[in-house]
Amino acid sequence: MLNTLLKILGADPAEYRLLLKTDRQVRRRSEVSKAVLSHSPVFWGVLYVLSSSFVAFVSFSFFASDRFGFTFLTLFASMTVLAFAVVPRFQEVINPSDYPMLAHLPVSSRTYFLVKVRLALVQVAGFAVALAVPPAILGIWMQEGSVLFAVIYLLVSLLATFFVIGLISAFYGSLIKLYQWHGFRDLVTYSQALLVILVPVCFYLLPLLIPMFYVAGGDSGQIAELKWVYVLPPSWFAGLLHFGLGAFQPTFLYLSVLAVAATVLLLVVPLRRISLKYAEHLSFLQESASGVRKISRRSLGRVARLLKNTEMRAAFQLVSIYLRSDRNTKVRLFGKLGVSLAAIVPIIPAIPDLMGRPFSIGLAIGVPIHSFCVSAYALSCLLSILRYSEDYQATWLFTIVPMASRASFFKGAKLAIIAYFVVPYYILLTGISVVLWHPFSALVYILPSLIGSLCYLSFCEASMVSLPFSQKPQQKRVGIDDLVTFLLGLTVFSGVLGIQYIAYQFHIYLYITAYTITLGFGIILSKRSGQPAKELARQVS
Amino acid sequence: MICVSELTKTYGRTVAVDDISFEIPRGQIVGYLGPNGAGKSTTVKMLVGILQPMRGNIVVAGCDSGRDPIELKRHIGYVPESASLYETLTPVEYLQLVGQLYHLPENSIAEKIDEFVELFYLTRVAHQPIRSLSKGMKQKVVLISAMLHNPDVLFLDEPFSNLDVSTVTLMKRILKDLAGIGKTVFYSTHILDIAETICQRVLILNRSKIVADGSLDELRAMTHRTSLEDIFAQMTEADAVDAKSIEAIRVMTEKNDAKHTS
Repeated sequence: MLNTLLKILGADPAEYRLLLKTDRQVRRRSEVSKAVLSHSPVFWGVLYVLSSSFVAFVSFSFFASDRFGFTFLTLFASMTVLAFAVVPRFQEVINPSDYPMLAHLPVSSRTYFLVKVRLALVQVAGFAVALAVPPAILGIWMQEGSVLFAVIYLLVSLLATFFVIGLISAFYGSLIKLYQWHGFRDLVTYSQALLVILVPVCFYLLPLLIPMFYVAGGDSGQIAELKWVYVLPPSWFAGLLHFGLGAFQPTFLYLSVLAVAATVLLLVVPLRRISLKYAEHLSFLQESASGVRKISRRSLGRVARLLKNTEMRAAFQLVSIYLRSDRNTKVRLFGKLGVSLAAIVPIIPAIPDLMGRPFSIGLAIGVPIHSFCVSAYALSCLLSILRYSEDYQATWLFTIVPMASRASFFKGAKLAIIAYFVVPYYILLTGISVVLWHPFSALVYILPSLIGSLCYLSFCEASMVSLPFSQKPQQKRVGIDDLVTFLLGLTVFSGVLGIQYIAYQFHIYLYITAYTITLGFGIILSKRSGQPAKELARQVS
Repeated sequence: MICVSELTKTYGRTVAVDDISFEIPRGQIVGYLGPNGAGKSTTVKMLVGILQPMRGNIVVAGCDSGRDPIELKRHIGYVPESASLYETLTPVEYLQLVGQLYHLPENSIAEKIDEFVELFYLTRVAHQPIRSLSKGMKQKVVLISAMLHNPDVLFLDEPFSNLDVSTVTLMKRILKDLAGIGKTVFYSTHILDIAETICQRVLILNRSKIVADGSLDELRAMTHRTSLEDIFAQMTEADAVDAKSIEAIRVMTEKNDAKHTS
């Protein structure tokens, strides 16, 4: 049957099986998939079961008597999460990493496309099951719930998965032309950060939305009474579920037809469109294999010219070029910065409480701790990006160039991080704090975090034995290194703020004294802690 | 065997290949020469169907690249300068994959792989992951993969850059033998001495255009030069560029010396 289907789709069944087998073989032996937890489908499966359980319990607690409402909300959540899961997997379809190995061989682009789509679909289908199981099981205990509900819920959520895949395919199908425009590829790079932020935002918004739906549902509190809900695709599938359970009202019939028709249409039309244009698209990708765009020499030169030491200037320029122009570095950087920015989301509900309590660090201790957390995490990510590189072999250059001091080289890299992250981040933070409180209060809040971050940077610099971009990426090790450094930094910083807090509890002048001393000590430390790096650098050289 | 007409390729505003045309009959080894950035690799990539031309026609072994690119790929073998390989597969596994994609019979694939592996002295590493192989050994794997299905036309893009002397000698002999049995070899390079020894005809590309096409004797008569190196220098205007470069280097060295002594 598969052979017939493949032939209908214009693929060669033998080639299809061969490519699939090779792909599996290569993945199984790949070092990265063994070493990196986030590459494991099991890890994601467990994560999705947990998140889906959370949403199912929250929905159940509000809508135990509203089957439509429960189905709508749980499907809404799982379809949103699935969309996020589909996007990175479709990256491999739109920009396949192994095509250069096969480009000259007689493989039809359509067969290759189907192999890529199949690999993406299998993973996404697995995730869909992980997302669907908790609400399906919980639904059995609802009012009018039964085992049949669980079975039909699973089938409907699978159809909803195909709908999401179709929707994302339509998105990529329409953007495949734009992909030939460099700006779009940059957009994809930056969107990594956006996607990471969107997930916690969605999970933050959903519990807020549920009471709103509940109130808007009128006296009965039934979501089905809100007609505008029918515009949203999850409601179509909720209607299909009801129809499947024997509720043959016209509304559910219309919603069911809409769900099935939209899924079929979205799945067939865009995928066909992409497969037809795929050969042309792959050919284009071969033209622009280089991930590095043209670099503006003038703007780089202007900043670097401020540095008199040539080694510092060289390191500053090297780091700047990678951070600004290398797409691989940017993808990792923006993904990680996205995580650190996502950490801001939990503080949003606390903002009203924090406002109107200026100056007293004792009452708003969370602000400096939180800003330090974000900054320290981002800094450790930045440093790990600087330490490990795909181009690690290029550092042979540093073994033959007569450098007077490798410490200057480290310093140049550090300055680039300060210029590209610390300065913009603290300007933004100061701006927000000035708006929320008072310029003086903002200064009091932000200064400890800034000094703490600079100390943290110097501390990290001390542990940086090798030159920038000189180590082969081993992501498992990178993650552990980052975490240990981050937790250590956080403990020290919390201790310092704890001293300030205790001092504040005794007397305001004692607090000011403690604040000034710790700050002064921090400034000295941030300047001196670079010393071990110099010692290490001397040993290395 | 190869028929190219009005072939043009641009990358944005840069013209990589500008309106080139040529025909190559069966059994000929043709050297495709040109300085760096002249458009040699782009031409080869278009001929093997990796890149789509902006304009023009390509017919290789009777197959039109625009109409039937897959059939065209079945008749050719391609050796790029630095090939991407599945690094986690072993050479034998990789070659089996290639053989199967060319639809060769299973028993014939195994036999051919054994023969080639022995011929290229790869027996010792045949079952090791490709990532553990040296550059030269990887290049040998690519060479075998290009010849495994006995193609009608062989496209070589700087194929000998990582190979040792004995393998280069072996390859030169193989290429001559292939031409002897009617196979066509399109050999793109800037290493002129190898081209001089094996090529029956030379195409010289300069600034995206073909500036010379003929046998070595014809080119010698045309340019009144004896060696291919001299002919190449004249055709690509490298003589003038070299003189300018030498002068620029002399000035720079003098300046540096003056700085150090002061």
